[in-house]
Amino acid sequence: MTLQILAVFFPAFVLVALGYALRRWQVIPDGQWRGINLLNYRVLLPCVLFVTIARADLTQDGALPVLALSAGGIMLALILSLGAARLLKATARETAALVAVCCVWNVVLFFTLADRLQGAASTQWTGTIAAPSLVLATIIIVMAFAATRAGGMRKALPALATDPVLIACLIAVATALIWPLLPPLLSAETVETLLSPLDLAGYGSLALVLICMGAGLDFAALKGRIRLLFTAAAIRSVAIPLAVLTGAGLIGINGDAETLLVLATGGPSAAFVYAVATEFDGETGLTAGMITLTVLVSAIALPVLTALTLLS
Amino acid sequence: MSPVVVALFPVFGVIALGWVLRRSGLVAAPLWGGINRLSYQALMPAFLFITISRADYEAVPAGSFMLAAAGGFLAMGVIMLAFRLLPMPGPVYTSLFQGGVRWNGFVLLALAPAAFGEEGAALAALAFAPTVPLVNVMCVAVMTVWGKSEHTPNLTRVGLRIITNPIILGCLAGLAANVAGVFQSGPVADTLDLAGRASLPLILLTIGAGLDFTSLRARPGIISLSVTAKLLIAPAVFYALGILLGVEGVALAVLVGIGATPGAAAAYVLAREMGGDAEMMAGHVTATTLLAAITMPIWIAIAAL
Repeated sequence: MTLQILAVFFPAFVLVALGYALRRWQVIPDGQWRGINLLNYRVLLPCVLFVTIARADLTQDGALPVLALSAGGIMLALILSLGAARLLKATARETAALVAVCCVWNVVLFFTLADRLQGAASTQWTGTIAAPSLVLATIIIVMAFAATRAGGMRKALPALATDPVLIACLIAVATALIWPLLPPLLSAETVETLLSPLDLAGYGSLALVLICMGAGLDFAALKGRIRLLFTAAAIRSVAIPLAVLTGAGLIGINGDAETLLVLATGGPSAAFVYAVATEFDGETGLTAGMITLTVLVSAIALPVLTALTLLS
Repeated sequence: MSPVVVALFPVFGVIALGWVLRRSGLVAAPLWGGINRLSYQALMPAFLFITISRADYEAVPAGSFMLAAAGGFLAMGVIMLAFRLLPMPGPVYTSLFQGGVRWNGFVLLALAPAAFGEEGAALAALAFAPTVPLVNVMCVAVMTVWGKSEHTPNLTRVGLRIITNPIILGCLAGLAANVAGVFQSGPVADTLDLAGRASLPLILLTIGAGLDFTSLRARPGIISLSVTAKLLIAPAVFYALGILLGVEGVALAVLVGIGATPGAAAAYVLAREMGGDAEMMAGHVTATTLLAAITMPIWIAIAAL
């Protein structure tokens, strides 16, 4: 069991470390990461989300509790992070960073680990789990950062309307829901052929997103505001997956779906939170520190939590 | 639909996506440098390493295949030398030469698993190790004689760059691992596998981003000639050599695929550095990339007959 878990997690986290090393030693200079990140966020991530969610059977047996628990995890993260911010007397800008980091889990790491753990069978649930969370989380983080600056809310709506991740998710959800209702104009084979460029671009590039995640790590940002940093990591990487695991037990979700839910919700925060923080002049240093710490904590907590679901 | 056409669809789809991204400004031209660098220096060597290290070369006619592949490039070099008899300036000729001999193996690598299976993919990857230095040496030699660089080309630097090319190093390390039977499975292999998978889509995107349709207007006559050499003469030469050396089945299809690949963007870089006609080279790469979508499946189908 331990070896199986290590085999699943080791390559993904080595790639994260590789990304950090490539940037730290300037093999890929700082300036060149901008293009890579842009390609990631604007193209590759939307591609992989579209093909995964569009293929998901959102109306399959047992989908509703999984959808609810996935979205519930985000709502719980929102409530916990707002409560923690109040307890810690965080400023509005610090609160925005905390909320954003706690609410968004890293979808690419989730897809990679799910594929490594369950192979092609994982696609039965990955889209169903990702769709509601990503839509909700994207809206929450844009609103959270926008609310902290004058005129930010005016900027938030256009930002949401043009957000590539949100657009890809919404179109994919619509596709997944409408597809089965349409008369069979296209054979399954033709659809697969049409999706194949997006498959190649998106799924092929999962590793790149992990490398970028590593390149974005900022250990210098871990200095200061320790309580906020650890609160973010505790909520994102420990409290939420534990709550989801408990919730899954209570509403009777088990097997592959349970493992994947924990794998998703226990992942570190996504690197694109930093991009949104930058766009809205948010607390970028604190956000980078929080993301870095969630990566470190998840590297330990996530294998343990996954093993728990496999044992049960 | 033919499996080769089905396999080619995503390959050229991603190339088209790369072009759209650059053309639309979604990922502007100056930002592609980092993507290119990461793909060639880190991800592609990992891909070649893992493909070669895991391949079962005893099950395929690797010896005759490699001989035919190297012979094909040498034969194309000789044929392209004959084109020097045509009246044209030296720099233009060097680009014509490069157009005839350089191949874009990444298109074939992306196509190979779906079109030829694991065996074909392993052969396509193996072909990189000897042919990349061979083609580079031929091109550098021709550029040195007929190129017109404003500054004297630093041959030591060019030579060193060929020897330390990460693509070649990845192939050689993969071959060593294959022979020694190490790193074929386990955490290191899994990591390289995961990293390597990202290389092909990124390289295909950069190929698309590099397409330059305005350059097609530069010397259309010579570009037609170089396109004919690359997409018609080269596959025929590889096919003939394959038959002559007894290569058959999947190996023959891969061999003809090598001959039928479009031109490589590396030709443009060398032309710029060593005094070739860089604009003509860009036109050649653009034209062959577009036309190879039609000619590659035809040639591979002929080889599979």
